[in-house]
Amino acid sequence: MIEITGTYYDGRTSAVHVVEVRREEAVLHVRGGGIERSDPLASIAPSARLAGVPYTLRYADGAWLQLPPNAPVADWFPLRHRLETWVDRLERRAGVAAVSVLVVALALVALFGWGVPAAADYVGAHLPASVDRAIGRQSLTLMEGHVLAPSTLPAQRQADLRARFHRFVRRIGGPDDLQLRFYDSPALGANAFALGGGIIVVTDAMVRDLPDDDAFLAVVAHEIGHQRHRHMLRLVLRGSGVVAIGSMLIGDVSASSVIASIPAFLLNARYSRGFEQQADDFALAALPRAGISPAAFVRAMQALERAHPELRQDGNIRYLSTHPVTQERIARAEAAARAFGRATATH
Amino acid sequence: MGMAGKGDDMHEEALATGAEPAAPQAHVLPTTYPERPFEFRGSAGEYFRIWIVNLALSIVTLGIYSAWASVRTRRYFYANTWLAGSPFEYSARPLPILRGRLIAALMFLCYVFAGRTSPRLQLLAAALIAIVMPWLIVRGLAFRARYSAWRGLPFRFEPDTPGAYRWYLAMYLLIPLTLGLIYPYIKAKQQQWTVQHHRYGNAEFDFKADLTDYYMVFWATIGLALAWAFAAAMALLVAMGIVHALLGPFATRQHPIVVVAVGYLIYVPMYLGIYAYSRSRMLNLLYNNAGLAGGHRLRSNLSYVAMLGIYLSNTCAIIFTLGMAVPWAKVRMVRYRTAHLVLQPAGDLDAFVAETTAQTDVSALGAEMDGLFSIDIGL
Repeated sequence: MIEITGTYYDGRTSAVHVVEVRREEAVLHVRGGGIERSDPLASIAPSARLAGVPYTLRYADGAWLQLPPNAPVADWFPLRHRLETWVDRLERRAGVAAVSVLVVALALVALFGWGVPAAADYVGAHLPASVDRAIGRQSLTLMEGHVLAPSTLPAQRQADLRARFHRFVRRIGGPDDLQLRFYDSPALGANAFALGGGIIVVTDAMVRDLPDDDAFLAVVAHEIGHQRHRHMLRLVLRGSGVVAIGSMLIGDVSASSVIASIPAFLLNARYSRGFEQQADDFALAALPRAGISPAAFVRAMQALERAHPELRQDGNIRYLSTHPVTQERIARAEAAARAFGRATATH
Repeated sequence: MGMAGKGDDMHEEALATGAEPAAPQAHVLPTTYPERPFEFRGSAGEYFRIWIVNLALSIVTLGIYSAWASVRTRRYFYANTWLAGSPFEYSARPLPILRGRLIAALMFLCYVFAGRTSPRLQLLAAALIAIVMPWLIVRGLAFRARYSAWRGLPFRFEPDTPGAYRWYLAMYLLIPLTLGLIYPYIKAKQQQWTVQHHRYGNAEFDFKADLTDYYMVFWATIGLALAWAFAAAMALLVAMGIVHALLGPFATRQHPIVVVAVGYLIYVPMYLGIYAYSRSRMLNLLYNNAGLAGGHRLRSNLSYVAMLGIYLSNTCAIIFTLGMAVPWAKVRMVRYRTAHLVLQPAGDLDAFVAETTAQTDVSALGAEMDGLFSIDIGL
């Protein structure tokens, strides 16, 4: 029988007793340092195996026995901590660590690329439209004080565009809770965006920079696509999911919150890009239904590009962008315009 | 403060509570007891394997396994922290932690979502959380203390819910009235409250705070924040000049990516520069003011510059290894903090005695909640 040197604490004082430990069948004998006891293994609760960490064996009377990490304690208690004993074996293999790196990488991609969006969209589908409206109103209130000032467009021009907008919505059978709003915004420049609950904002600069009213309707159709697919609500839900799950992961790895915000930013951009593409698809399908060629979308994109030269970029930073690359969007719109041309020619 | 360092906090909790030994009162010569340094014996390589395997299992099991993972991680850090020839011990069981975690995660998800939906909802959620927070703090401290031990004797946190409501809720209401000037006082009292309600065996912890120290840290942090903000503004001007020269003039508007990247390069050092200062000073105050019945004292001498260096290099390492350096970063920080902590015993470390009443189990909900909501328990 091998003897193992351990440390014994009686559970009543912090005194240290150095002891010799011997196991005979189902009994554990402890001797030395003024201690002498023999107990059935069944009355002792061992700790799980963990690399570099001593075992702690707990007696029913509160006493503790600490044994070195290389003691065969796990063999004495084959039925205890079966899950953790298995995990411990995995932790000791370099190959498993390498596989784990791969598993973590793949799982994170699956989790944030698919799991979080799917879960968020599922929740979103079960939320009433009043949530969208609440989000939209709040966002608008926040922006109205700062980046959005009252429109400087002539009232006649606004009324004219609104009338065209409503006619367009009726023709494409769009949602009937849409509100078109014009604002002056030097900070945003030529811009249009959809807030939750049917609010569509178009800046004065956008109206001025667009070459014609069909291009205006192309921009608006894109924003209606955002409304139709409840993109704002879904983006909010996905963002919440990323933060909540990310915090749980990070909470345990103890990284700094500064670091955590980088992947959150990139993910948000990714989700947003997907939504932009969906809104484009909606617009390119809606325009022909109103008898407008998707070529109007091409003109709108080109006008936007002239207004925002800083956004003209090559494809290599796409993973950082919130919008798909403009050239791609234009190419897709041109293809849709050709299809529209063929369709109208055959009629 | 932030989620940053939740693991650190646990560890430090062990050390704070783990402080030590109680001894016979009015002993003859305190000088006969040599200083006992704390020592961290873990290694980054060993911890890396534990970390990555447990992370993979947590993800594959959709978070269920994370309770086991967190117990193994904490045990690794506790059991590798040695004092006077004996390691600390963490003995919580995973199942109660899992239960606490699930409830906490659900509440946290609602909170985050409310925050993005409407400011009013968020205000309501924040108010609700503020009301339950002191109670959660008590439960969290009680849970951690209950399952931390050294030399076979457990720590304990004496649950003082009225005290928690006083120092973690009522006092905050005075902050606006005093224009924030009461803040250092609150921090001092929170540290005192936390430490004084801990026991090791039947020995009580004591806390002797000099308010002046806390006000010094407060004013120095504000001064430092102003200095960093000034430096950051200068750096921003220079960076804008460089970007302008490299990419050409785009009027006042830049591509969002450029803005974000430059923002990070300036914001991160500034944030860490201020955080490292208040963190190192507050930890020093916590440990240096804490003692254990019988005259045992703790001494901590963390240096601002060293802490900042570790935070900055850890951040860079984690970013450039896409997170793989997290175990190394964590071990490094714990090792530094442990190496700068010593116990000055005033008596025999073998003489601590257990409490006469046996401890009952403590729910894990509080411990999991305060981790997620990153409550600053003043440690």
